Amino acid sequence: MASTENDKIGWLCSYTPVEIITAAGFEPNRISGHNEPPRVADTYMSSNMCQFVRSVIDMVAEGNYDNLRGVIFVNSCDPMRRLHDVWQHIRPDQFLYMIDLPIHQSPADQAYFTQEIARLRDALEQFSGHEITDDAIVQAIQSYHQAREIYYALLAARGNIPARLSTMELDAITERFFNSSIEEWTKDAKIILNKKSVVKKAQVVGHKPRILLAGSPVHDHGLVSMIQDSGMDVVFENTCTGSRFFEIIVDETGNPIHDLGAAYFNKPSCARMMQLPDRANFIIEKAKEFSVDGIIHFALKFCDTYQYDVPELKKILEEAGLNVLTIEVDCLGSNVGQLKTRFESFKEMLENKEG
Amino acid sequence: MHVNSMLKDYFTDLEAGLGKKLAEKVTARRTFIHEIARIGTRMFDPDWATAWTTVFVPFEILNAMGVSGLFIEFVGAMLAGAGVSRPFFERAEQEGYSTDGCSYHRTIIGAALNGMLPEPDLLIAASFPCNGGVKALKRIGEIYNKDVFIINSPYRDTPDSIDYLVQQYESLIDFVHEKTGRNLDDEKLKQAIRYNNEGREYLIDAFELCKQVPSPANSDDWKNFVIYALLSGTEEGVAVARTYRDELQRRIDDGVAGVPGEQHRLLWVQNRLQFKTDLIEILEKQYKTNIVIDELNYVYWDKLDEGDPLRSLATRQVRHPLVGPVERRLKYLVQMAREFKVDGVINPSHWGCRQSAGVRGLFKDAFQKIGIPLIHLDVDCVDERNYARGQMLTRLEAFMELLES
Repeated sequence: MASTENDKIGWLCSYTPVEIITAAGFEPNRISGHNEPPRVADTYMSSNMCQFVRSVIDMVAEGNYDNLRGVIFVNSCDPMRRLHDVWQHIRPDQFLYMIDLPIHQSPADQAYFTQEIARLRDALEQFSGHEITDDAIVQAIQSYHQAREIYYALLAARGNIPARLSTMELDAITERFFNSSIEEWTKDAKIILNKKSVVKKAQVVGHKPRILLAGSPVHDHGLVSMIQDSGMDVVFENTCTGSRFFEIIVDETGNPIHDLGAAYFNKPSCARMMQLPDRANFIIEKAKEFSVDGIIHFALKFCDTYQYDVPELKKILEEAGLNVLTIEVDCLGSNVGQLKTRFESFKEMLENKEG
Repeated sequence: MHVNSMLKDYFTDLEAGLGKKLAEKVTARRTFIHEIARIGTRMFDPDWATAWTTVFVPFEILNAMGVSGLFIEFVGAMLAGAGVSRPFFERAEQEGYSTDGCSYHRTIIGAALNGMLPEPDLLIAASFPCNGGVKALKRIGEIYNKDVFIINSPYRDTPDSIDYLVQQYESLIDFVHEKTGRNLDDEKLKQAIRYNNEGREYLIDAFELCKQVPSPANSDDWKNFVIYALLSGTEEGVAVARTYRDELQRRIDDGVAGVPGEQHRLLWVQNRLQFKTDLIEILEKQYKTNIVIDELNYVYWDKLDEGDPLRSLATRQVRHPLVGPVERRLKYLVQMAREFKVDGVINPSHWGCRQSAGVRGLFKDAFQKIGIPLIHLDVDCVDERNYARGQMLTRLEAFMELLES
């Protein structure tokens, strides 16, 4: 379904079943805030909230999200709940909806999450005044399935040695996915995938240490650029703004709400889901698959979700023989010098190990 | 695991000391702390199974199964109150835990890493009021190589949400049984509900008395009373609540004010400062100001139904003011401010507490609308290494001038 500027619904968390938004006739639009120091957010919340949440508050207060018809939140962390509350305070007229997300322990949790998706459908139907049919959801599921397959083909091109697609190209494609209609993205991404020029971009410039970037969502692409500029190569991004959103396989059984519940709830977990060993194993597995030399774990300053995992995760990864650099970043611009030094040292360490 | 005896000695001495004082004179505060000390000593009693939990879990179920629940924030507060938390912070920091995280949780992680705490039999976390508590218990679970049972506290107050929580409580009972071999005695649970209701009635009466001007209670009488949750559904809990009610009534009858010459009445948002400070003394003596109600002490829940205990407990949890959108919490805060006739509000804005600090502007706005000023202290309630007394007093002075103008 073609959408217009006025048909956008914002979303924030990779547990948001965007298929429902699309099936409702809206264009899902990922909210990413800004990359500068907070401007007005501190009027509403304490400065000990992460830069992402504070930057979104800035944008809401400054009217930058006035174009959105509504926003879908996920009860993923304390700051996300508070973001919802502050947003509602600033824009009580917008359609704001919270999806509850349990931590996965039993079938009852998955059933509850599935019920939450059904509830989202009801809320969007009421908001839009249109029925969201099972057929429309199935169609959306299939569209996203196709898009995710294309993403994986692009990711494979990125992971090849030598790479057929650069990191920054893949990041740009990923970002476009979050901010355009699924039809447009799929069309453009197919062209990129099929283009012979992609193959021509293969670079054999000597081996650069290959990096798996994991951790908090990376809304500032400057971080990846900085790692690249330090002489390393980010080949896999285990973040909610990288591959994690695409690691969803919807098995179609005839009940699309149930299928979405199962797919989203069982995707490889993020730190919010409190399954640290699973998350660590996933990183170890991907590190092998993508011939990674080192892991950079990024935690947004004040992000409890990822910060609390750092000591134990580092220990597990190092015990698995991986080289790990953990970084904490508030606003990228204020950390450039220090980060650059740390990246360069890590690169040297990786190169020395390679001998 | 080697267990440092300091903690055991602390609780044993506290229990014995208060026991002696109670023999001389019974006061509500002594009775309360004595019971809490007894719960603390149970950590070292082989006859009791011990569960470490987050702050809001159904302690009635645990009590009815012979499990002594202790929420980790209580232990963190206790260590800070005893002035012994510094090495635990340092240990957590050495391990890589960020100093921006909640210090209630960092203390307990550090203490567990240092082998300061006896090994718990169970770990139970609820996903409200904060995610940090769940994370902290997960890390503690790794230290002791134990599973953590997580209660997913639903965001909405709907019949489906309550059904879901009841299901989880049933799984919790199975989990406790699996880990400890203890069964739930239905009659004991019903008795726990009856005790809860009885204690609740006394507490409602006691807080009703504190709405009088001047309040018969002083700022410290109800300090940290959120810990009463550990006594929920016990005979001892009823006795504590009754003693408070009786003592406060007696003070009113005798014309005794909690703070003599009470001039200002404050509402305290969330938790108190846990380390030793003279803040309260200054408020009371210098400014004749009384903290007449602490947010977390408020009896928000309806009478429980002994005919359907799990549903009743689930309903209480789903309707907690800290669950769901902040609107509900603001409504309760404003209601408290009005009922207790406060003329000012203190929000410590505890460093590291995202769930509360994330809406501090909305707190201020809500009270502004009813003409009551609020001050954010911007303090770490547990980690006194960051406490700047002079700065705090300057801010407090300015706030008191505002109240007096």
